[in-house]
Amino acid sequence: MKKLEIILFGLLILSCQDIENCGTDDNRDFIIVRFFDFETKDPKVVGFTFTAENSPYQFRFLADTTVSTSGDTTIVSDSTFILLPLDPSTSSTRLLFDSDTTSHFIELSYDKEYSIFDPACEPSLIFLNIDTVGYSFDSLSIPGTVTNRQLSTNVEVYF
Amino acid sequence: MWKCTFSILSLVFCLGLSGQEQPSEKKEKLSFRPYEVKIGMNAIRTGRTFFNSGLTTHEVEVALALHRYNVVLDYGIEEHQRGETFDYENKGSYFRTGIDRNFTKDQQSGNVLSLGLRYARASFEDQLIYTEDYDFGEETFNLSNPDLSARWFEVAFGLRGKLVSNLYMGFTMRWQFARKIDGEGELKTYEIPGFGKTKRQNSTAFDYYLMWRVPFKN
Repeated sequence: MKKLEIILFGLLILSCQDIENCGTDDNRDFIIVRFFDFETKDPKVVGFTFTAENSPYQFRFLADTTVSTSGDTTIVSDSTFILLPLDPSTSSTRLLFDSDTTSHFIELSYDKEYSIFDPACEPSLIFLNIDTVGYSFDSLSIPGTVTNRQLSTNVEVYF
Repeated sequence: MWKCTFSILSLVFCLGLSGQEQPSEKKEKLSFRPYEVKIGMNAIRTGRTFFNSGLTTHEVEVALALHRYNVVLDYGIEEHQRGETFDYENKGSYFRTGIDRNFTKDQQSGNVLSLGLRYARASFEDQLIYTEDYDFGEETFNLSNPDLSARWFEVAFGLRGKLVSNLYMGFTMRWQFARKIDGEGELKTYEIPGFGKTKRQNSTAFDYYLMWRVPFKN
């Protein structure tokens, strides 16, 4: 009986060990927008300045690196996708895409979910039930309605 | 012939009586009259209260013994404050109730080796406060769930042994499953009093109890 007790106790302690790394949190608080050619459906390189309404910042996104700039306008011309923020204080955000020749917008609605992945990490925020309120591009689809790292695309834009 | 008939009837009658005596003995053995109650505290929870500055938790257990079964009721409170870059507070109470099958044969010893089922329920609230800039300027978020409830079931394996006099000690290992939470808003609760972290749908727990035995006079 004592042996059984010791073995069970050991197994229980092992099973209770939490090995958490903040980097393994699948939640993310931004959307990934990918651009495609409306005719060919191929990925399209874009050159826009991106801003979100109510945000004091303008954004430049290169691959997985997010750089926020305040005041300066940054033209991105080497990306087929961008990472964009949504406003957690409201239930919809209007995203503006400007270039020298054209201006577009996407307005998205969403729900929010706050959680704690681990007390040692920052609180997690995800957006879910992402839907379209309006857009000025030729076509738009939302294959990923939740901002989770397992999804590589939230919004596909065709123009 | 009549003598013989009388003798046969007498024999049948006597057999009948003796046949009825055996079930009556069995009935006495199968009596579900309570013969003891153990009242105790969860030593691990109370211990964690003293060693963890952000945690206050206590639990009491009452186990009523009848035949080979124990009817168990646990009641606990928990208040937990967490966070390095944020303030998260979770507080509430819970209870568990269920029946254990005691596999020890000596009822008089008070020792217990048991396996049982529990139904558990918690009522609690939580709150998260933090400041963050999600690219829309720095903002303080104050989120709360004022009226949360949760239920789950447990398979419990327990052991209680006599320490001295009527003082008993032992552990309960639990496998907690079929968890359900009601009342969550935008904030997903991090933990449930009595259950633990909500990250897992099923969970395990280990509790150590100090209990006082009160035998009933039969």
